[in-house]
Amino acid sequence: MTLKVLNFPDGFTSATAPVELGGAIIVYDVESIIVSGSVSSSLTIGFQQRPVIGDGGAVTTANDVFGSVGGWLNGTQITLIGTDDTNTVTIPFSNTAYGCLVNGNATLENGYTLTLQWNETIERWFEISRNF
Amino acid sequence: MKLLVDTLTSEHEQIFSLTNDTRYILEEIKTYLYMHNAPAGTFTVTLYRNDVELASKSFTSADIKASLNTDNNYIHVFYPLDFGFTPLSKGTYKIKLTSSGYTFSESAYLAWVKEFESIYQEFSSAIPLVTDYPYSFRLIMNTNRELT
Repeated sequence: MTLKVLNFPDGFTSATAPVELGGAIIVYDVESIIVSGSVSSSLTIGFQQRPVIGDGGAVTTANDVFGSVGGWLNGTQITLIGTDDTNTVTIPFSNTAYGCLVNGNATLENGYTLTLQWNETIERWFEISRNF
Repeated sequence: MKLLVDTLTSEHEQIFSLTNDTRYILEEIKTYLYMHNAPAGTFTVTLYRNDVELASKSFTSADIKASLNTDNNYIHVFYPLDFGFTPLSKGTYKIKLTSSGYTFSESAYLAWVKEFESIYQEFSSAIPLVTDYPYSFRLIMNTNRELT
């Protein structure tokens, strides 16, 4: 079951897509991350759960872990989940545009989670929680 | 207006009950659908009683658009399907939405709208989980036609 909350504003015409709101949690398939690579993300889903695994070994993502295009819904929350004890994925601390203000680099082993929240004004991802 | 929709990936089904000791003649089932960018494929609504198929109707995205006489691709609608005077009686039924030649993608999909409480179910004081909200549909009965 994949639920979406769609907003049909006043004056909506069926010629364009309604805006997808962040009420639903979308769970994605495990994504393989390359060294200095980015993790995929949706610009229109407010709550995303994204399992990750290092591509061929332990990797550290780029500082802009979700890329530098921007445009996420303000307040978008993404939970990253590690899926392997060897092929880990490290999210680096980076106080630069589109970077993550995490409480120290976060290395995601199997079952480790890191939840980040986007602030459009500050242009940073903030650590909300981790389970390790 | 906001709608909670469940995207069609394989199939959706909704159980409902008719509780009165009355014989019904079903004319139409109107499932409340959201069509996102006119996905390809054929969709089928099938009515079951005790897992026995009573009747089914198929449609496409083009049919939805034609029913509204529009070329637009983002439509939410109680889409009427003619079930040709299917006789029903007190009992429990199931409506299933399936597809063929269709694959879900974020850019084009069909979804079934959910509602807080079905008008065909007994009211409950318990607040259901969002995931348990029933799929929205309407049954159009013909109350003037006699069974033959």
